[in-house]
Amino acid sequence: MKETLVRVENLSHRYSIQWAVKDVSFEIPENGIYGLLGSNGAGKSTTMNIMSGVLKQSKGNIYINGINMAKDAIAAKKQIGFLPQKPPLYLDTTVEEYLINCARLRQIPASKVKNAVDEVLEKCAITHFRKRLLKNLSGGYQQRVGIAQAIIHKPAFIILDEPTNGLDPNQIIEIRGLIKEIAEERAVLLSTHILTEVHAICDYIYMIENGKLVFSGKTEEFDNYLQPNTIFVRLLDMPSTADLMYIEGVENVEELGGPEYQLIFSDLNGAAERVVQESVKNNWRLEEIRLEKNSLNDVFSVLSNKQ
Amino acid sequence: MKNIITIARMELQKLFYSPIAWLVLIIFSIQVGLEIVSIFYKQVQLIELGVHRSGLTDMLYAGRKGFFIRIQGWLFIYLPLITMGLISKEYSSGSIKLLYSSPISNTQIVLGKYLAGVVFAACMAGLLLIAGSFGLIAIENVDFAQILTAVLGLFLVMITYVAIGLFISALTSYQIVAAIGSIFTLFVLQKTGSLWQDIELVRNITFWLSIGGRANTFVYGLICSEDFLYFLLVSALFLSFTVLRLKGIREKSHRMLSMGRYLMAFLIIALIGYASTIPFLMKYYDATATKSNTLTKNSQEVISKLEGKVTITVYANVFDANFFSVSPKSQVRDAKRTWARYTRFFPNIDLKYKYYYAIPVEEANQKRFNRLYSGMNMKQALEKASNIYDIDPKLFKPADFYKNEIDLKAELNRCVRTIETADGKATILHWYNDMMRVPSESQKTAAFKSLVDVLPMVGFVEGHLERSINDEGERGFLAVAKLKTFRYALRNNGIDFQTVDLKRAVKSNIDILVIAEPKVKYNQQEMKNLNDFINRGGNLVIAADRNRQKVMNSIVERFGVTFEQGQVVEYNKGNSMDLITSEFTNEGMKLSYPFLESIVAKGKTVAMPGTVALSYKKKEGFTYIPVLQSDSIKNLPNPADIDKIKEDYLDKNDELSDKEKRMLALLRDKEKKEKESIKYIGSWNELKTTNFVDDVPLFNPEEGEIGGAVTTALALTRKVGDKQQRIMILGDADCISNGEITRNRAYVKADNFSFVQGLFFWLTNDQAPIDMRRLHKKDRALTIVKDEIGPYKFFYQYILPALLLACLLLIWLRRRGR
Repeated sequence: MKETLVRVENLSHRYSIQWAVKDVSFEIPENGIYGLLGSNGAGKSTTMNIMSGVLKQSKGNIYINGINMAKDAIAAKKQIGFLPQKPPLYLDTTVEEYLINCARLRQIPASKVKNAVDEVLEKCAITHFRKRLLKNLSGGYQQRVGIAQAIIHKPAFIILDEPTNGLDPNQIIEIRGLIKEIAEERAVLLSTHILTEVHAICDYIYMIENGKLVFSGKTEEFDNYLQPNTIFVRLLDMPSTADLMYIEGVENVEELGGPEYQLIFSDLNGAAERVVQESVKNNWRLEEIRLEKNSLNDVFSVLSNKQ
Repeated sequence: MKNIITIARMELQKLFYSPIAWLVLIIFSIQVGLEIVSIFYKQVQLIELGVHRSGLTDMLYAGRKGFFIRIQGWLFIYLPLITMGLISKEYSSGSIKLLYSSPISNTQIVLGKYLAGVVFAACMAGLLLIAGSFGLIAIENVDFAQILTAVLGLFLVMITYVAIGLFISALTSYQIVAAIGSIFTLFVLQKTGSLWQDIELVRNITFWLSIGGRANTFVYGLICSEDFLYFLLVSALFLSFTVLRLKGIREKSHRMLSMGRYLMAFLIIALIGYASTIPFLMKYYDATATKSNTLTKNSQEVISKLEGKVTITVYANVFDANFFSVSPKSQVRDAKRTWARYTRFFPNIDLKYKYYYAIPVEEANQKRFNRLYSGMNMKQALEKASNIYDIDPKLFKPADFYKNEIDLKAELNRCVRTIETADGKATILHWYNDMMRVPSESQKTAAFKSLVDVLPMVGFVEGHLERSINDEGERGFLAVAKLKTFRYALRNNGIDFQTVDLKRAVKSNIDILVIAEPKVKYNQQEMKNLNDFINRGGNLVIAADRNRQKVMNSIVERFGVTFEQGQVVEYNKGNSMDLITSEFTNEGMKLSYPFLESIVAKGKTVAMPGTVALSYKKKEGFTYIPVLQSDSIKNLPNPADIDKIKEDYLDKNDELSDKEKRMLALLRDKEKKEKESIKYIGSWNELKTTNFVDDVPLFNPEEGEIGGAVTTALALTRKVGDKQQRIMILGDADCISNGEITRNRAYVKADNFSFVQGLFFWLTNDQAPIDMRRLHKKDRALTIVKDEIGPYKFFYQYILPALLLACLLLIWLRRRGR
C-alpha cells in the first residue's frame, strides 16, 4: 500500500498556557497545491513550523512519507522544503554562495551541489543574479531565492508560508506561476489569507481557526460550502416590503434602491417559482430574477465565526 | 561532522564577508604589535644600559608585565564582538528557520557555530604566534616551547570565551545585548575566583569556575590536565547550555523540566571538573627548557619516599603579619601556590587550616599589634581583626585550644605549618622575615626530608666560651643554626643540630662538629673526646679569630695547621683595613657549588673581619686545599704617603649613622675612582698594628709579616674507612656569625650566607642544604640592538595590520559591485 505523503495526526501545540493548535488532523495524499487558510493568529504558521521541523509539537504526530517527525526528525526533514514567511537569507552572501550552503545543509552530495544550484537558479529564473549579493535583490527575487532554497534538494513536500506576502501584483503572478510549476512534481502546502490566491492556485484547502481545523476539502467544495439563500429581483411595480414578506419562505427583504430587492429565504427549494407566481398574481411586473451565490469571503467569514 | 563543517563554513563566510571579523583582527594585530615591540624595546634599552638577566623568554613573554600576561587581560573584549551575532543574528533575520528546517540537529548547529568561533580564535592565536616568533629572531636560545604553550593557553581561553559568547548570543535576538552580556559574563567569570572564598562548601567551586589567570600555567610553560580540562569543560558546559537553549526555543516544556536539564548539564560538568582537580588524576607536562615549573630531581627523590597520607596543618594567628596569605579567603590559592608542585608527585596530601589568636611574641609583630589594636582588650582586638578580614570571629580559638597539638608560643605565636606523616612523624615549616616570606622549594623539601630521612647532625661545641647557637648578638651563631625566621638557618634547610660538650664522648649521631673560637683550652679529656671524633672520621669546622691563636693552635696542630700570629689586613676600598674580603682559590671554589655559583660567579667574596692567617705543613693522609685567601700584593703605597692613605682608610665618622656613613662612602668612592692611579692592592699578616681606627698599618716584611695572598680558610680531606673526612679550618669565626651573614657594606660585595650554605653542603657530603639547582637558562641575550628594532617595529605595528586591512579592502571591493 502506498504511504500517504503527509499525515498529520491529532496535532496540538501549546505556547505557555494557550493552545495555538488543537487536535488538528489531515492528510496530503498526493502532489498538488494545498492551501492552508486561516485568519491571523489562527495557528497556520505554528502548524507549518511544526510540519517543517522548526517547532516540536506538544502532542500528535506528523508523518512524512511514513517517517514520524517526532522520532526521526532528520530523516523526515530531508523530504521537506520550507520557506518561512520571511525568507531565511544571509544577506551578505551572493545568491550562488547562499544556495551552495543550502544544498550542503540539505546534504546534497558535494559532487551534485553545482548541478542542484544551477537547476534551481534556472527554475526560479534567477540565474542572471547568481553573483548578486542577496541584500541587493528586490523583494520578489529574494522570495524566489527563498523558494529556490526550499526546493534545491528536490523534497517531496514543500511548505510555503505566505509566499506572496508583500510582493507587487506582477511579482505575485510570477511567484504563483512558479509555485504551480513546482507543484507538478511534488506536494506544496502554502498558507495564505488571500482568498483569491487560494482560489487561483490551490487544489485543496485546509482552514484552521483558533487552532482547530474547520474545513478540509477541494477548492470547489470550499466555494460551495454555503448554500445560496438569496434571490435578487427587479420588480417595476415596486411592491412594499411587507407584501414581499408574505411570499412563503421569505425571511427577510432588503431594499436595494428603486425596483431592486434581495429576498432572503430559509430554504431556496421552489423559492424562485414562488416569487414568479406571486409577481404574476399581484402584477408586480417582474423584470429580472437571479440566484445570488455566496462569495469566498462569506465562506471564510462563516468558517471563521464557526468557532 | 560534515554538517558541523558546513555550518562553520557558512558562519565563517558571514564573518569574513562582513567587516567585523577583519576589524577585530586589525585592531587586535595593532595591539599585539604595540605590546610586543614595546616590551622588546624596553629590554633592548635595559641591556644597552648594562642590565643583563637570564630567562628572557620567561621575562618578556610570561613575566608580570610579559606579553601574554598583558594580552590575556584584553581577550574578553574582542571575542564577544565576534560571538554576538553567531545566533542572535539568526533570530533577528529569521534565518534560524533555515537551520531548524534542515536535516541537522541542534547540537550540530551549535558545534558548527562554535567551530567557526574556534577558527576565528585560531586566527587570533596565529597573530599571537607571529608575535611569539619575534622571540625566535630576537632572543638567543629562546625557549620557544614555552611560547608555544602560552599560545595554546591563550587559544584555550579564547575558545572558552567563544563558547560563553555563543550561549549569550543564543539568549537574545539583539546583537548588541549579546555583546554586552558576553563582556559582562566574562568579566564576572574573571572575578569568580574571589567570590565566597570564606565559605568552605563553595570556595572550591567558585575558585574552579574562575577563568581569571587560568591560562597562566600555560603561559609559564606548564600544561596541566586540570587547567586544560577546565577550558574544555567550561566550553562544554556553555555549549550544552546553548543546545538546551535552542531545544527550549523549539520545544516548549515545563519550566522546571528546562531548569532541570540545565542543572543536570551543570552537575555533570561540575562532577567531571571536580574529578579533574583530584591530584591523583592530574597529569602535567612542563614544556620549559629548564623544567622550571617542576620540582627538582632532588625534591622529587625526597617526595618519592613519602608514604601514606601526609597532613599539612596551617595554624594561623589572626594578629600575625603573614595571616592574609592563609586566611579563609586565601585557602584555595595558598594550597595551589604552596603545594601544587608537590601534589603533582605526591597527591596524598591533606591540607587543614586552623585559626587562632594570641598576642605575637616577636618585637616587630608586637609593635604592629599594639599599633593596630591600641587600648583594646583581646576580645575587642579579635573583633576588629575579624572585621578587617571579613571573617566570623567565632572561627578563631585561643592559642591554648591547640596546646595538645602544638606549642604555638614556642613558634612565637606566628603562622606556622606542621607537616605530619601517617606514622606520626612531624615537623614545622615557618614563614621567614625576608622579602619573600614564604618557604621556597628548598625549605619545603627540607621539611619533607626530615620526615623520611635521618638528617645530617651538626654539633656545636659549647663549654669554653665558644660562639653559641643561642647567642642573638652579632658574634653569635643563632641565625646560622636555629633562627626559625631566617630562611638560611640550618634548621630550615634539612640539617639538624645540637650542642656538644666535649667533657663527654661525642655521640655517634653527630656528623659534623663546629668548634668556634673557644677562649679556654680544652683539657686532656676533652681533647681525647675530640680526637676520638676526628679519628672516627667525623667532619669538622674549626673557626678561630684574632687573639685566639694560642688556644686554637692546640686543636689544629694535629693537622699540621697553624693560626699565625697577628691578623690579616688588606687595602679594601675605604673600609677598615682589618676587614678582609676573602676570595676563593681555584681549587676552593670547586669544593661546593654555592661557592662557585652563588659567590664567585657573581663576583662576590666572603667578608672576614679580623681573620688570622693560616699556614700548614702537610701531614700524611691529608689533602690540603686552600679555600679562601686575601689579596695578593700588587701595588703597595710608599710609606711617605701614609697621611694620604689615612684619609681613605681611617673611619673618622663614628658619630655618623650607618646610613650617613654609606652616603659618605659613596662620595669617597667617587673621588677614589678619580684617583685610580693610586689604588693600592695588597694584604699581609699584620703583627704590629692592632688599632685600625686610629692607625693605618704598613707592610713590614722585615718584622716577619707575611705578605701576599694569605690563606684564610683551609679545607682538609682524608680517607677514613669508606668515607672521606672533611675538615674546614677558618681564620675567622665572624664570617659565619649572625652579624656577617646578614650584613651589607658599601663597596663590599660579600655573600657570607651563601658561604655558610656552601660550607655545610660540602660538610654534609652534598646532602644539605638540598641542591635545588636547575638547568641554567640559556636565553640570556638579545640578538638585536636598539638600532635594529626599527624594521621589526614597522612590520608588527604597520605591515601586519596593513596586510589584514588589505584583505578587508580586497573582499569589500570584490563584493561591493554585486
